[in-house]
Amino acid sequence: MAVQIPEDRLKIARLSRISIVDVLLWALRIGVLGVVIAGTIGTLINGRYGWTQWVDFVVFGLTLGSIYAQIALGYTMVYGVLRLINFAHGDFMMSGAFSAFFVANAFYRSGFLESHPVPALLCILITSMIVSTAVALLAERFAYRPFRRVVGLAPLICAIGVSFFLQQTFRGMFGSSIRAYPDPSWQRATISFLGIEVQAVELLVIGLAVLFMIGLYLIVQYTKMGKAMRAVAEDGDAAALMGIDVDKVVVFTFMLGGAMAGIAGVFYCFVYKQVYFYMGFTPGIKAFGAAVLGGIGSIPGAVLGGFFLGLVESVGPALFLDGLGIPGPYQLRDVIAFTLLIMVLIFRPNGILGERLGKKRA
Amino acid sequence: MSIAILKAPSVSVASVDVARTLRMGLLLGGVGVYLAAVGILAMFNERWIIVGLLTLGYGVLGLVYLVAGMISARRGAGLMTALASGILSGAIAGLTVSVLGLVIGPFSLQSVFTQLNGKLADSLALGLAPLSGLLVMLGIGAVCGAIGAILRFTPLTVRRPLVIAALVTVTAGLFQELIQIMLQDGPLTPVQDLIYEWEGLTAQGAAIVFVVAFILALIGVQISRRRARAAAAKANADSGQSLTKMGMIFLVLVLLPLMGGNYIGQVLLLVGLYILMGMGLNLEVGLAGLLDLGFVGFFAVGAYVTALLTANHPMAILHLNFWVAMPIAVLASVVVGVLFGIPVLGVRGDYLAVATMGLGEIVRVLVVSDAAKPLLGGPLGITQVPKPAIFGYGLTTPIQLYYLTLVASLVAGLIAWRLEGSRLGRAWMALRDDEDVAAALGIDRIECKLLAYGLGAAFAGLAGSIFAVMLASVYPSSFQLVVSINVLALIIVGGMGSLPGVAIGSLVLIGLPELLREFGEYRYLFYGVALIFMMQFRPEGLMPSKVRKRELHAAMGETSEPAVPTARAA
Amino acid sequence: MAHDTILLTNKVCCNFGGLKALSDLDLEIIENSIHSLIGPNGAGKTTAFNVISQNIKPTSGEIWFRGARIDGVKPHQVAEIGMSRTYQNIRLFANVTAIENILVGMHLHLRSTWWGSIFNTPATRADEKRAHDEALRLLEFVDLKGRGDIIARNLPYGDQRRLEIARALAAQPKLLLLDEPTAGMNPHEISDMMDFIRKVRDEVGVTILLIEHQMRIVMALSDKVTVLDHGQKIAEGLPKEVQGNPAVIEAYLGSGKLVPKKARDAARATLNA
Ligand SMILES: Nc1ncnc2c1ncn2[C@@H]1O[C@H](COP(=O)(O)OP(=O)(O)OP(=O)(O)O)[C@@H](O)[C@H]1O
Ligand SMILES: [Mg+2]
Repeated sequence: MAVQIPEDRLKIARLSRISIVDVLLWALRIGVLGVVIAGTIGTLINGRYGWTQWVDFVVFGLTLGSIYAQIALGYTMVYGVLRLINFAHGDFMMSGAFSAFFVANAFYRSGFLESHPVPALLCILITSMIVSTAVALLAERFAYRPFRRVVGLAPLICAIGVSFFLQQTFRGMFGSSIRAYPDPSWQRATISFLGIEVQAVELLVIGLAVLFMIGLYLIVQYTKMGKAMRAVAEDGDAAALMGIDVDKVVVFTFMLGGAMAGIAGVFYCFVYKQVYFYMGFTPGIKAFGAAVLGGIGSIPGAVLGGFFLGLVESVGPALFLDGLGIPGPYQLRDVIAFTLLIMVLIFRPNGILGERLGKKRA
Repeated sequence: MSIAILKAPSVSVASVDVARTLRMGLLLGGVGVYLAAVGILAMFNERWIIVGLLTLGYGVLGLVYLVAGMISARRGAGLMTALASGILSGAIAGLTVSVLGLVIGPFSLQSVFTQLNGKLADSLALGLAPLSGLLVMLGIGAVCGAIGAILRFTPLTVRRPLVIAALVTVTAGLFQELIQIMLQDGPLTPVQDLIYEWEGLTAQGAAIVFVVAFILALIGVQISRRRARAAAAKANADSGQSLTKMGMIFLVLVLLPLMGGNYIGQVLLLVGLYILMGMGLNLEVGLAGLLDLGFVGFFAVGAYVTALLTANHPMAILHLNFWVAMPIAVLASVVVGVLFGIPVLGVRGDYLAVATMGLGEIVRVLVVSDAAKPLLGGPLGITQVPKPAIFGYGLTTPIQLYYLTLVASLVAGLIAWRLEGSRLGRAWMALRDDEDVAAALGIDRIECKLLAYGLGAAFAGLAGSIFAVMLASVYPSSFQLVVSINVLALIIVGGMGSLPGVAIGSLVLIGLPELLREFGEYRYLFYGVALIFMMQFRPEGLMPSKVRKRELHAAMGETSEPAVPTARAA
Repeated sequence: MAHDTILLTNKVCCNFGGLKALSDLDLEIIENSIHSLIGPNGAGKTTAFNVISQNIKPTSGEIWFRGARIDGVKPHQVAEIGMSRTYQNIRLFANVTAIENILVGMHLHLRSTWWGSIFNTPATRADEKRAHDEALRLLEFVDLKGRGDIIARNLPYGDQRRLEIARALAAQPKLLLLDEPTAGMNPHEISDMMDFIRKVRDEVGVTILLIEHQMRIVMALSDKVTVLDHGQKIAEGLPKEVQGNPAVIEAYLGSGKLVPKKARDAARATLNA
């Protein structure tokens, strides 16, 4: 059948399918990919790193990934239930880390940390989890609850406020200096395996992280509260109609998220051996990226995203940047992480696991 | 008769909701403890409001008790009951704070909480022996709580003047240095002698200020009520009012430097720069609804380009005149703004905030890295940026630069104001409200968003350019994320989408903390609290724009105006 | 000449994950007609609108509008060449006035530029003046005279519906997509709305594609009816033809096993009303 001939006021030329912006976005993708490939080839050719070093990078990446994954879990659960980017989540981790520091310091001075690593570690972990959870619950109660049914930017801005408030509170109470986390001998031990030296504490972090994640998974999958949480994440209104107490579920979610953040805080202390009031910010933002990468709202996604981000951040500078002859590639670690974050937000806001978020966010 | 009098208190006291009152008292006592632990109390105690009588720290504590009384006194219950619960919760709050003072020593809290030292314990005991300190504190709490409860029962026409008078008195005490300088050596010297001594406000002075302010405020409130009633009768008086508001604020801004020396000039210059940036971010967030946390990047570009083009420094590429370099810097910011906007065009809502923050962080890390050191000077920055001149007349003092900023802000404000009501402004409103619908009406999202980024960046670039001149140098440490948050906070406190709001927000959030060293230390804490409180209780800001106010209240699920509930359902 | 095609879709599919919201939809809309799209809940009618207006990109298939291929272009470009729509759940700019809503709709046909607005040039002022006059005229056309300064959210429901149509008309479309314009109205309002839709077609001269649930309206208004079920076109033709089509009745009433005979008859009666 004949399609009508266009009138002349119709400018078909303007119906271009590809705009300049699309071209630029493709250029961005290709550019980033190009840098990655060129850098990788360059690094592999000049062969500066032996395979033991690569293994080192990978183990460190998994360690970092454990931290990111733990934080990302909190982000993802809160987002799933409340559709809120809890900007202050990194600061929940910071508060846990601070309490871990004080407990560890006291133990260290009394020699308990050196002589009884396991009970000491347990105490530290539990304190950190309790404090982070308490902070999370307070934030939920006093800052986030009024926004339960609010859409728009207000809750996000409030979350930024909470983040600032927590940072400055800790700065006020404990000072702005960087404090060294105690470093007993068992934290410095290394394990040799096939000629590779791995820090025992890194293995500890990875192992504990996996353990806690499995625990969390079981809680979310099989307990009554966990099931209610998933129901609310799927459809809050329907869940409420089915008689689920949404308030309780939200509190439970913040509790779990806070506990995970507390664990992340302890891990952070082990890896970086320091605490300061601003420490939560960067890992927090990065972990948010990890959560989005894995498909926000998805618990396995957050874990995968976290580990992936950790690996990229640890291996990336050596693999992508060193080969390009960029001076001081390790300073640019954060650039790699943030680039990944932005690329994900731009190109795959639904994450690699392809959540059915298109529908939810539409 | 006598029986009734005897009976009334006992009945009402019995009807006090003890659990709730206790909770409120403990909550506010907790606030007091928090203030002590964070160190605010100790720091505020070093500043007199009334010399020898009241420090800022005790003033704040009193306010906390007063609030305790105020919120636990419920109007429905009758004055006596309210008074009783006010007294009770105020006393509880006082008790909580005192107990903190008592446990500091025995539990050596200082080993963890650095601020909880012996000096603080002393000041919490009011310098008395522990037990009598506790009792006195309890009494103070009770009295303040009672005042709070009574305040709750005073009509608004009296309460508002009371609050205003208290605020004026506190201001007179806190800013005594400034005010004394202003009063000195002029016809007002007798006033100075009347209310001030060398160190600050005297008790007699405070009383005079309070009474005078109260009477004036009482009259003012009456007049403004009558006016409001008259205005309500006239429809659409609103736009005219906001213009006069604008004009008044501008007049104040023009006259402020007359207050005194270079220090004031310095502070005002900073305020002016933030007004300029606020105007820019207001285009993005307030009008186009794009929450941009990488805004500081545009500011940095303006500053760096200016420095690179004008400085007497090996890193500089040219040695241009400021007036040539400034437009180039602004243009560079616009280009960066557009480039910055392109990748995040498709990113919506809250994700955009994170994406832009990530972009800003990338820029910051790159600037301080070794990789960019040969170009931008790394952490040491670029120094020796010369000051501009007009017709051979150098703009060297902060006050002169301040006027330059003020002119720029005025232009920026005019631009923003014109744009808001224009075709582009409506398109921004549409995008902010519903992107899909806007697109279906033929609005080109890309064009409109990039215009918002570009124009917003222009203002920030201009501010950066002047900033470089102000400091005579640029360092990467001046361009942290907090700058973006500052600007965001000021437009939120002032009122999103409102131009007078930007000026007010900047004066309150940038100017005040600079003037009060005590606040300065805790300004970010204050910002955090301000963001939380504003979002919860007054999301439209101090000087709201009409449209944003409606939007925000709609978002909060309120229906202040008779709305049709089914309209958005289904 | 009288049968010019204004919109043509060719084997258009739209999938959401595993759900086939539209499969192989062929539509042909004749210029200056009122064409109705009907079907049970979840049939994919609104999705068809979204795809036609390019709010959602089709998974496959071609869409031609006024001689231009529009699948895959940006939604604002589709609006530019003459398509407007309304929404099932009214989507006005709720916090601004009725006039401002219409002014946004006129975006495409205003010539003022942003720099012109900044300098408030005479051309801009003239443009704005023209826009306001036109907006007032449109308000009058949709019977909202004198309500221009009311905040959209505060208008009664029926007025909101008409304001949304006015906003769509402000973009001077050749094809207007109306998604259930009578939803939630009482019989009196419905008959007003029907007259109004005819008036739009006759006086403004736009083609109308209409989604409608109530058979009575469809029968009275349409020149042609397309029936969708589960994303597929199951019938098409004149209202009379479609009405008696067993496949259509089947779609509306299900397979019959679950619906008692009496209810089926009652429903058939409403269908035929
Ligand atoms: N954005 C989307 N993401 C996922 N699924 C969608 C989306 N939009 C629609 N659907 C699904 O596609 C199917 C068709 O929906 P559509 O809204 O087009 O139906 P409809 O015919 O308009 O129904 P109604 O009469 O109720 O308006 C439904 O199953 C719906 O759940
Ligand atoms: Mg529909």
